[in-house]
Amino acid sequence: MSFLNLGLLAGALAFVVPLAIHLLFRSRYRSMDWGAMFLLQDVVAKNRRRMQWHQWILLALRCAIPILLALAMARPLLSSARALPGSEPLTLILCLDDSRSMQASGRLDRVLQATNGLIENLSRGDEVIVIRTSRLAASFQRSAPRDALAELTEVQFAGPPADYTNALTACLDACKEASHPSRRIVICSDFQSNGLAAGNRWIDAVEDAQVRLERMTPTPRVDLLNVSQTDDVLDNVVVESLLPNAPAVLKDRAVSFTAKIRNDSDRPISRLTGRWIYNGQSVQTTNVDIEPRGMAAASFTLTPETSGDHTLAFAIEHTDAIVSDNRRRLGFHASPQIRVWLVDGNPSDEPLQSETDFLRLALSPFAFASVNQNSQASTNPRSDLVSSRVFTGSRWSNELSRAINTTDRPDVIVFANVKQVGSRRDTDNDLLDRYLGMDGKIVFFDGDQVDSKSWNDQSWLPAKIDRLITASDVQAIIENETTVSAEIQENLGFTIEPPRGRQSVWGSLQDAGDGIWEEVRVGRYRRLLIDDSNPATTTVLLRTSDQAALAIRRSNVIQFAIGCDAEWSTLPLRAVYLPMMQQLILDLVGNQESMNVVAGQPMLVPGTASTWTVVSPDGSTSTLQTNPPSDSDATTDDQRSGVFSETQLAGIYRFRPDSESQSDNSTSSQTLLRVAEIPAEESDLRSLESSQIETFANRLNARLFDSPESLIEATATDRFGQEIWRPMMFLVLLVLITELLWQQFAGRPKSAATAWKAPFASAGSRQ
Amino acid sequence: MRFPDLFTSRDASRAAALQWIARQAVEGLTAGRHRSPHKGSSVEFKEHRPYVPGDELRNIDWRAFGKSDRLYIREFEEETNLRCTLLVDRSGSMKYAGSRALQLTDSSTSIGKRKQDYATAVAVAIAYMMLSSQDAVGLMTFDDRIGDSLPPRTTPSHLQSLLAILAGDSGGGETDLGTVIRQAMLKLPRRSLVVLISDGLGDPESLGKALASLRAQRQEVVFLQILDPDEIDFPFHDRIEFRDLENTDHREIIDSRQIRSRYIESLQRHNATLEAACRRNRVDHALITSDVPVVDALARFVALRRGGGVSGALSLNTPAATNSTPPTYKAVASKLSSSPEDISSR
Repeated sequence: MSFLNLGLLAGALAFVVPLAIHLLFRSRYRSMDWGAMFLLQDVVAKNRRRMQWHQWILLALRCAIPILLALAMARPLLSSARALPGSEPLTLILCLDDSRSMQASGRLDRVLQATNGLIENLSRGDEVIVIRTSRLAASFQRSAPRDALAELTEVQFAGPPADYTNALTACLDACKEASHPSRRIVICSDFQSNGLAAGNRWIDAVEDAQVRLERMTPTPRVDLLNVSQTDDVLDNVVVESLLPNAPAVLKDRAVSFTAKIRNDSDRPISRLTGRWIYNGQSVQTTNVDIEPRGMAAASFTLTPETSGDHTLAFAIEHTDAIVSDNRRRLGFHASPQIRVWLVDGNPSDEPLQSETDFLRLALSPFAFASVNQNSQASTNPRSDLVSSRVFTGSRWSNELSRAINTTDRPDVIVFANVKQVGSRRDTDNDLLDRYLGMDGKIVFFDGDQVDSKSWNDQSWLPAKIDRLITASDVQAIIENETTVSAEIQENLGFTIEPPRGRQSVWGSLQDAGDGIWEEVRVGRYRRLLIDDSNPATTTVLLRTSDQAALAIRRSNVIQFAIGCDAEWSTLPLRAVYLPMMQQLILDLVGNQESMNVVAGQPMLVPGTASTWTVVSPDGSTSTLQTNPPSDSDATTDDQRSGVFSETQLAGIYRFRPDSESQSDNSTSSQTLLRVAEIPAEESDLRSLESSQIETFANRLNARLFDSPESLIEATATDRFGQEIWRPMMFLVLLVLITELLWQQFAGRPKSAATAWKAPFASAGSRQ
Repeated sequence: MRFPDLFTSRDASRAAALQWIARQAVEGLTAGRHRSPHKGSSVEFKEHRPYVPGDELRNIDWRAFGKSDRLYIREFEEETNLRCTLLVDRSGSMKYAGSRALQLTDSSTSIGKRKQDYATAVAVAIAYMMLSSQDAVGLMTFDDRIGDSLPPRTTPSHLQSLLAILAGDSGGGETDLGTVIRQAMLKLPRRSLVVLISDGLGDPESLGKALASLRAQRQEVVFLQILDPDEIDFPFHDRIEFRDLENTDHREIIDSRQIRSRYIESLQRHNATLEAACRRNRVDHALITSDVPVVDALARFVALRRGGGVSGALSLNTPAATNSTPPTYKAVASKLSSSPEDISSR
């Protein structure tokens, strides 16, 4: 226990006053002659001991009054065992959930109240490390309390969903950066239901964190502030998604977009007004009705008149818990007709004997129906989406060298059963690297002409080409026979596992059912050795029923383990081939994923300019360097691309190339658009189950608070102790009353009162 | 102390108007208003008895002779005067003088407010009242033993002798009422009235036995208990050294507020014992506080006797005492200040 006004503690010496009065009183008395000593003597003899006790207790009460009063005025502080000495410097690690859900129903106010209170209670020598859940990867900045307060005023609570276990890990990492051994972690959040991983995996993470905490000396104290309250108004309407209904958006081709609106309230909403905003201009208004806890959809058809990056937004006009989720944006790239170069490694003059005949037919079916297709391609709605051009030998490299920096640059290059990259191996390799660096796409088909050694040198191929697997090999292995008859070989073949929408590229084929895949037989394929070092970036698009990869994708490159003709499989002969290839090319070219990212995730821009000026949604500008000037020779895809990480704010980011740094004036002069959006689940304002939050806190040995006041008070108590002058004053009052009552009543025997109630048995009157 | 200080002429005239009638037959020396155990010549017919030689002829009932042809003698009640002996307590405890007691003499000192002075006034009033009724009055003072004494006489000059003894300030020892009464019994005439004037602060059991002995002697006994108001409600609040008036070596320093209720309880218990002893021995007991004018108290007492009840009316055992709070002197004082008619009508 310590005292704020230690000097006033000397006032406790005033206890000598009642003591002196008592002693003085005992020595001062008046004398009188008394006749009824006969009665008095009897009373005194019986009550002497009791009266002595009464006197001592009375004296103790009277002495206690000045002592307690002095104690109260000295403002005692009651400190707990884990409390810090008030003068010891402290590092406060303040983890703020700055996700969008914190805008709802006063949560923001509670967080700011708590943080301001916590920081204001710090001393000058303390430091603060502010961690925002939207920027967990950011470096930890140690700030003085005053600077931290200023920093907090700039926090925008509009970030992506918070992951509490990651936030906890970041807090523990920040502990290492703390200047002071005494550390306190405070996590302020609304503890949304989506903040913890599904299942119980988060418990393991929390327990790991607890182990890390216990290893620290002294062990930092962890406090959790849950700013969500049960009486929060959670009525909210959110634009859940905004997606095009086509895999690619092409110039001058109508494409429809669908926005889904979710009503998280318990009341229906009628005639909710929604606006479609195309490139910043409101172009259409629509009204929708939504049932309670229901969904509604709004569609909008758009025909881009220009190629390039565009943005489309759907905004609803509704006042609810979170206003910022009433708008959702989408960035998309409107391409002109897709140019596909088919590099044929096995040309033939015979119909459908050339390696690329089936593929050309699948990509440009209308080209075979109309001789005038070329002239009407841009206006005829039934014209092909893809214009294909076939190259044989190494002509493709010469043509690409010429066109790579022009508008004639192909969108996709397909290598079909090509023996090797090119005759000018190094030059062609560099050419392809440049092409890929300029957002070019490559599709590789295998074949018997393919020189696996040559292709395996290409780093951009997702997998290494291994030996050829044939159906007979497998059957022989199964039946343990060395020879298989020709008849059996014809009926043999691997089946393809229906993708069933597992990959978005085949999403449009899902409606046709699994039957379209059943007739396909694969007689042989190349075994693909996928690089295990970075499996997350490689996606298997198609596989056999034996789980052997038939098509894989990494970034802008798709690699098939089979050929694109009917020699190795019956795929080109089946109905699924045409929509499959169309879908594949459209998805590859029209992939909008690079334009739309989750807020907080990095944005990629091509290396067509070395310097980009980035305009963020809040109007701030920054500069993005793409080409490291010191290492231009060893460029890779990532190095050539610019990575912009400051994407915590939802909205449209504009990337303007600096004119001096442009590598080519013809293609990269226009502004690139990227869109960062908050996932719709962030608008689900339900909190974690109380048992989950308690488990989270208990596993950490953390304290859980549900109000800023209690958190501030508890932390202040931990550090400085709890002021107990109020109970002390109450105690003084209690002792005063006790003294009064004791003086008045305690000296009176109980039997006396009853004696007066029951007077002498007889009246004493002689009748 | 002079007689007029204790007993003014107005008090004397009021006392003379009072009539103290003996409850039982008493033996007096002269004819009076009181019943005698002997047959006499009063107008009150008692019985007939057969004539025997020697009887006076004037006492023969000739009317009865005419009817029955036998000689009968008419006998009448004899009425005699009362012989009263005043036993006045002069012990040390009777020297207590409370602030609320009547100032009977010079107001510059506490003398005159003492219970002893009040008891003297009561004795004088009774003596005057008795002598006014041609009754004989005697006196015995006592503390731990019999002090001065005067046999009962009816002459008016006898009052001066009584006053001479009462005005003296002798005594001061401890009281032992039982012993003293037993000693006094030897000097008391038969079938007389004994008025005990004392504070009764002694052994009640011993007193009870003594009263029983008195009653066995066919004495009519009246016990007038004189208490100061302070002794009833113990109104002290501070630390006081109480010095025993009967034993100067005995003293107690006490926080009086703490023992007040217990003291009052003890007093109640003591008086209850006294009451019981008096009731058992058919002794009239009256508690008189020293703040009530003497003649007023005496007048009420006489009225109560005439009405058939005394002890309950003037004792501590009053309705006010049934309150749960400790009794106040006001409760007793209000009882004493009420009119005799009110008391007798209860």
